[in-house]
Amino acid sequence: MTEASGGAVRVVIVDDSSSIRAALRSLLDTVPMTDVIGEAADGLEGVDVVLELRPDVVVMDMQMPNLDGISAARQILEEWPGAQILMNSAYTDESLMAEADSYGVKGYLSKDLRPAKLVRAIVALGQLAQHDDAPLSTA
Amino acid sequence: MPLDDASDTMDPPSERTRWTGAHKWVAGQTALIGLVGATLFYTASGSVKTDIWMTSTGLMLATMYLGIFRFRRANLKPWLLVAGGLTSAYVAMFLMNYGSWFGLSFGAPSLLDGLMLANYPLATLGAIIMLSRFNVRTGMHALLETVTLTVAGGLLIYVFVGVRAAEAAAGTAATIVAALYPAGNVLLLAVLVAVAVRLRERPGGMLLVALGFAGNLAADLISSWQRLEGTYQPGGWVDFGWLLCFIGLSAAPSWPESGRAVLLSESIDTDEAQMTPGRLSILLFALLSAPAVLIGQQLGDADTSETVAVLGTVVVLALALGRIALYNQDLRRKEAALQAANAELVQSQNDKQSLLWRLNRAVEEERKRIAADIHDRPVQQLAALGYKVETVSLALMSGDVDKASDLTEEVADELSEQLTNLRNLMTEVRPPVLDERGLCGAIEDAGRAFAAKHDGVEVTVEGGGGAIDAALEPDAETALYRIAQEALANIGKHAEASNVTIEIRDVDGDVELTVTDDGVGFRLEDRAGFVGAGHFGLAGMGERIAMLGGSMDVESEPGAGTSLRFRLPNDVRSTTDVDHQPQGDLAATGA
Repeated sequence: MTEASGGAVRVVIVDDSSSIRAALRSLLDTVPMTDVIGEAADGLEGVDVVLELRPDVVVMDMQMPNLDGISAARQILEEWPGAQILMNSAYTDESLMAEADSYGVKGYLSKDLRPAKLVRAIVALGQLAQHDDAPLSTA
Repeated sequence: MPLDDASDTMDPPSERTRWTGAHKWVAGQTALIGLVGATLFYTASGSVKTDIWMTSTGLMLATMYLGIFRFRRANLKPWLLVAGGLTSAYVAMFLMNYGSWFGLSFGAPSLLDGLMLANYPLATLGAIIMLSRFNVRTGMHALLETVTLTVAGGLLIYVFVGVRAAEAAAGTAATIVAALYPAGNVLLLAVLVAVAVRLRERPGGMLLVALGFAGNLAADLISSWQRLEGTYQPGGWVDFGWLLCFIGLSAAPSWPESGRAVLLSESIDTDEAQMTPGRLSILLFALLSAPAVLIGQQLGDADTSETVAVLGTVVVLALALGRIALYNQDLRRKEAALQAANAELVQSQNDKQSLLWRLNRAVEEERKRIAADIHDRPVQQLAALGYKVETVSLALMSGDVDKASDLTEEVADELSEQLTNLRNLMTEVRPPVLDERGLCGAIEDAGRAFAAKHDGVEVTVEGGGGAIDAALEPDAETALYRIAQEALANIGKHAEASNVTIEIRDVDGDVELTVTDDGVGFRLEDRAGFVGAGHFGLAGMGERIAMLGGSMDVESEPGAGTSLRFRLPNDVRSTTDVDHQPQGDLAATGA
């Protein structure tokens, strides 16, 4: 992993599972290049937290109470088109992936992926976001 | 022959039912005497003609007695009545022809008329007793048809022959005797109508008796008419009717089938009311008899018969209308029954569909719930554990051994927790307790759990034991376990019970599960509306046991609790060994 030029990548975790939030926060805290600046336990709260904190990267679960991940991502991107959102889900449904892509979501990762890859994706996306405000064309 | 033996066993005859040498001999004698007698009678002339007549009819009468005592010993009474009637007529003829030998002469009316007339009631009584031994229609329809036809025919006999003969007679006694002959003919007609209308089968002997009666009736009527017209010739073709009477009656006892006492009156004629062509023609005849009577009146010039003719016609018409009304009534009853059956069918079809839909939905919901459970618990937890292991790896790389050690311990704890979670999930899909402790043990656990969840409810599980646990197919075991769970859930929801008893027994090789509570119960007649009202529990349990070929019995009364009995037939049970051992008798209290 390379060192972030603009400081640590600021991350918000949106996931209804407290275990996931705690474990991911603990992992990202161990990585020097990332800094978890906020958490949300459902989509509605996620929209508020993200729009308020404007993190470099959002790690968003798909299935959540109150507002699901895809709808939350859509609302965030409508308000803030530059948001870098990574969907992180137990489901890998093609149509959901396509839908997320159409809203401008930057990536779609399965929860069965090795955590190191998730970390690398977060760091890479975060650093790109810090260097260039323009949205990436693909995830 | 094997076939005959079989029919003998199924329907034991009281008399011989097969042609034997003896039957053939007696019947052959009858045929021979009848044929030879008739031929000689019609070829001879003068007084010899009378001798031939008396000899051949006498021989035939003797053959009739021979047949009766040889083949009808078990059923003597009706045959002796018929034979007695014929004998009486024969004696009358004998005295009429040979009375002068003994210095006897007879006027008109005389003793001979009495002997001759005695034939009719005796023969009729005998034939009716014979008929009652066969499979006859006994309903109101058959009775109406018989009466209609007899009254209509009787009316015609009365108008065309009876009244005229009586009018032609001189003196009171002669008038009465002259009227009694047509009355006797009406009796014969009644027997013939009964044979035609009421007899469901066609036994040879009975038909021969009917043939004899028909011959007698025809000869009587035609000769009476001819006598009134003055055209009767003794020894002419009309006499053949009486000859036929002797031939038929003397042959009848030796006809094997006629002796069968086929007491099949319990057999139900489902088309009793149906208007067959034969039955329609009865009505037509009855209706046509009315104008025929009017014509007869004109021809007969008989003022005295007017009232009777009108009354008789009205009676015949009323009888015919009654028969039609019965037919209508039956049609309506059948239609109503059909509609009721149809409605029931539609209802049961709807219930079944609703139940199937509900079962499908339940299965789908169960799957969704299990999927959601897997997503929410093991998948999330395992993903979190993955993050932790990755964190451990990073901590080790950066030399933070303490952090790595703490995290590893957390990971170990959580892994153990996840195993428990997965195990619980598995229990929901297929309770391992069934494999570990068998059905009875599993139900015992379910009862204990239910009692723990519902304060003040005592659950007792009884029975079980050897054969049951070891021998059920896994799906049958799961079904019975689910049924017990559902029954308990139902009790929890509706019964307000304080005692629940679950019994598992082996009844004649079948497994019987009974769940009894002392709760509020319900009216059994309300049960039909449960599915419609959205209560699927009872129907679901019934369907579940039915899918395995079993049955459910429900007993309940408001205020007297409910008892559900599920019976799983023997053939559903497995013959393969199951790895758990029989539990022995269980008598555990789950409270």
